[in-house]
Parts: sequence; structure tokens; C-alpha cells
Amino acid sequence: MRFLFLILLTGCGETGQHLISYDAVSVGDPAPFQAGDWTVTLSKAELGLGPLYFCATASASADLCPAAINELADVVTIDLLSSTPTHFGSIRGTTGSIRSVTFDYGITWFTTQIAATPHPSAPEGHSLVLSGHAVNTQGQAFDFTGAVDVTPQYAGSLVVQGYPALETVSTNQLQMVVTERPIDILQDVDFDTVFLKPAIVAGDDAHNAITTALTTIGAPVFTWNTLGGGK
Amino acid sequence: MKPLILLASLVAGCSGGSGSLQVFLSAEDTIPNGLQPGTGLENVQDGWTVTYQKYLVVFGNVRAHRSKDPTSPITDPKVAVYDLRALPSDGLVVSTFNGISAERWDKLGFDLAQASAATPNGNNVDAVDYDRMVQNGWSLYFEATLTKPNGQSCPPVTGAACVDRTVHHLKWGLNAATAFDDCADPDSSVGGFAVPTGGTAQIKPTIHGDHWFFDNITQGAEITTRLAQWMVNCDLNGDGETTTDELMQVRAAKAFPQPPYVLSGAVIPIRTAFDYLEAQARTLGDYNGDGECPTRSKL
Repeated sequence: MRFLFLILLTGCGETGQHLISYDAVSVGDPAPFQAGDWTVTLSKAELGLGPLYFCATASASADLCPAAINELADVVTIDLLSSTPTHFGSIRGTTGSIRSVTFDYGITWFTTQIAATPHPSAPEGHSLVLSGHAVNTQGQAFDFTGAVDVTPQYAGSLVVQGYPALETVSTNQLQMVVTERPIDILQDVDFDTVFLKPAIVAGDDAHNAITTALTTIGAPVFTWNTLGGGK
Repeated sequence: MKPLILLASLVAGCSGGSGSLQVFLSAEDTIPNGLQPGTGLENVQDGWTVTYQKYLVVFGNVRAHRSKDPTSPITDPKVAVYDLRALPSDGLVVSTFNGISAERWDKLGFDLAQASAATPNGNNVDAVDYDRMVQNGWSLYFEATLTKPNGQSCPPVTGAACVDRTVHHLKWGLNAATAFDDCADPDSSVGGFAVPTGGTAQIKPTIHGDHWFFDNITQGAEITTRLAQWMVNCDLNGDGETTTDELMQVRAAKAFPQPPYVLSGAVIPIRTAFDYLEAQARTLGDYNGDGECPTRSKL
């Protein structure tokens, strides 16, 4: 996809598109949340994010999105417990209409890699690392940790494909906001089970609940703000 | 094609010639023939044999336009209930457009629609089946049997034991009304169809029968693995038949472990096993066999 992106840039002079670059920030939520009978307070929630490819088509598999409009080629770690917008990188590309985003959670499987591989910038070599404390209505309490890997299925694929992201980008005076709340990721975790085995790792039901959320109903929300005037 | 014929076609196209379009509703061969277990790309990899007894859809609203002139579309708004197992092997003509411009119509779409009392019976669908579609407002209904000599059902419930299950039944109906657009031939970057001057273009919107066996939600080429075990596992009451009510009770994270599954790319949010079924139903519309209609919109 990077190669095709370069092709797109080469053609910019002919299409009327312009090169742009703008900042990306993340917003999390430190608030405790309810999961079944348990009140969960996280002390650590770091998510690996990227690379990100923003496409002009709603369906955006590698073959249907041959040229990304915008992209973040790097993998970054974002703090899901920070409610303050936190800069994590620059989005680059051309002006145009974005209709979807395709991305990984810090573990990539490019066609040049022999297997899915954590990026050096992924948090502790995982897609998501967690630690926290849970207490239930019966007064039971425990500490837990989590190391979650969200892995592309096959070489050349990204783990989240064609996820909604709608914006027409026409200026550098933009800020992309990635909003991800821990409750959206952990909402289907059965903390009764985690109580019995408080280290969430691959193969656990809790791990599967988190990976399912991250690829469906709990994926980040992508929005754009226009700077110097609001939007 | 010889150069002179090509030149003649080009001249005819430039002179504003016209032609016709015939639209054949077609069923993927998995619908009449089922799916076989095995290790091939098209096989069910976890050993189940799948046979469809019924497969009905509400299809129609075929439309096309040219990118250069989107204000002059051609549309046949008719939708009807069709029994895909009763289609002729080459498909059933469901729409015909005469006297249309002889050139490429690069934007093509159609709908998997919702049945209503106003929806006609398209090809002598059994009256009971037709009424079921209309009364429930479904866009899709199928009955299937899954068999596996050493099969088991392992309910996705903590602590539940696996039980032997060699024959399993499905009778699933749902509303998954979806618009499919930007259809293109298999392995082609050019969309739609080309109408020859004085001739007839024939196209085949193709309804697939295997997407709920996929371990991902394909958006381009069908790079996927077909698995049926989840359908058998979701039989919560152990009666040998999984119902849509049971699917609605099973969290997606319980039915579809990752790996092998990846559930991203759905038109709808996926929370339950039923959502996954519906999400896959909203991908069934293909074109001329395995060509994709990648723009899918919930209706």
C-alpha cells in the first residue's frame, strides 16, 4: 500500500489534489466503569495503534483501497486513561474525501513479513496492555493484568478493514482525534472469570472478548476538528 | 476481435448507437450443490457437509448509470421473492432494458430487499415459504442440514460439555436488506457492463450461499476459511437445531474466537452470533459469479 500511496502522490499535480499533513491526538477516559457486578478501575491501559490507512472507499480491503488518501505509517502507543487530548503523530497524504480507515493494533503482517509481528513501538510487544483493580457488590476485590494481541489473519491483511471514518480533508488546519474508552473495549469481559485467573492472556475468554471488541463495537472513533475556528 | 471489428464498434459507439441489457438472477453453486468438507479453498475446513433444502431471497431494484452522466440512470424498481434453488442453471431473467446507450455503464447496483405484502412472488415460490417471507418481513430465508460423521456440538457456555451431533438443522430467516453497488467483474477494476451497439449485454447478479461460513468479512477477494462448527455450537438447548433466537443469546466473542476469526468490516455492529449472521448476509450480493459489489449499504 505504501508503494501505491507514492503513485498517488506522483499524480497529485494532475488531479488537483494537494499534499497535506496534520496532527493526530488521542483521547481516553480514566473513569472507573461497571462490568457486570464488578466496578473496574484501570491503572494502566496502553493501546498500540497503527499503521492507519484512510481510504476513499467505504469497503477498504487491500485490493479495494489501492491508494490511501491519508495515512499514519507508524505504530504508536496511546494512553487510554488520558482524557486530555494527547498528540501521537502526524497524518500525511493528500486532500480528498475519506470514507473508511483500515488499520492494525501494533501487530502487522505485511507481505514482506513471514508472520504477524509486533512493531517495536507496540506496548510491551502487544496490542494492548492493561492493569487494574476490580471490586464487586459482595466485597470481593482483586488486581488483574492483561496482555492482548490483535493479530491480522494473513499476510497482506490488516486486522480492522473498512471501519467507518468520514471526513473531507482539504487543509493542513486539521486535527484528527482518536477516541477510545476502556469501557468500550472491556464491556464484554466476564470479570467473574478474570477473578479466577487474573492475568488475561491469549486463549482466555476475556482475551477473546477484548479482541472481538477492538475489531467491532469497541474500535476507536475517528473524528476531525478544524483548527482556528472549530467544527 | 479483429481490428476492423473493433474500429466498427468504436465508430458505432461514437455515433450514439443503442443496445439492450438482460439481467439474470443467479445463484452461486453452493446453493443448489451445497458445500463439501475438505482442505480445498472452497471446502468447509472443519469437516461439516452442508446441504441447503431451501434458499429464498428478495431481490431487485437493479440500477446502473455512467459516471460521466449520473443524472441519467436506468432502473427497474421491481423486487420479488425468488427461490434460488429453483432458478435455471444459467439464471433467471429478472430485468430487461431496451434502447439504452451502447457504451459502458460503469456503475451497477441491486438490492437484497425486505419482503412486504406488496412484494410479488418471483418464480413460483412455494406458497407457504412465500407467505413466511412476507409475514416476517424477511429478505432471506434458508433451511440447511449439516452432517459430520464424528461431529459434536460444544455450546459456547462456560462449563458446558460437548455432545455428539452428526446431523444438525438450520431454519434461519432474517431481514438483511442491503444495497449492493459498484459491482465489477471478477478480477477487474472496471465496473458495470458494456452494451454493444445493436446487441444485448447479459449480466448475472449472483447471490452467494457460503458467506456465513467465512472466518472473516471479506471486502474484496474471498481470502477466507470456511467453518461451520459455530452454527452447531450455538444450539443452546441441544435439540439438534440452532434457531435465530439462540444465535441472539450468544455473544460474538464466545462463538467466534480470534484467531481464527476476525469480525471487522461489517455493515452493522456485531455483538451476538446473530449479528454475525446478519453481517454476512449483507455481503451475499456478488456479480457475474465472484465479482464484488464492494459498496454495501444497510437499507
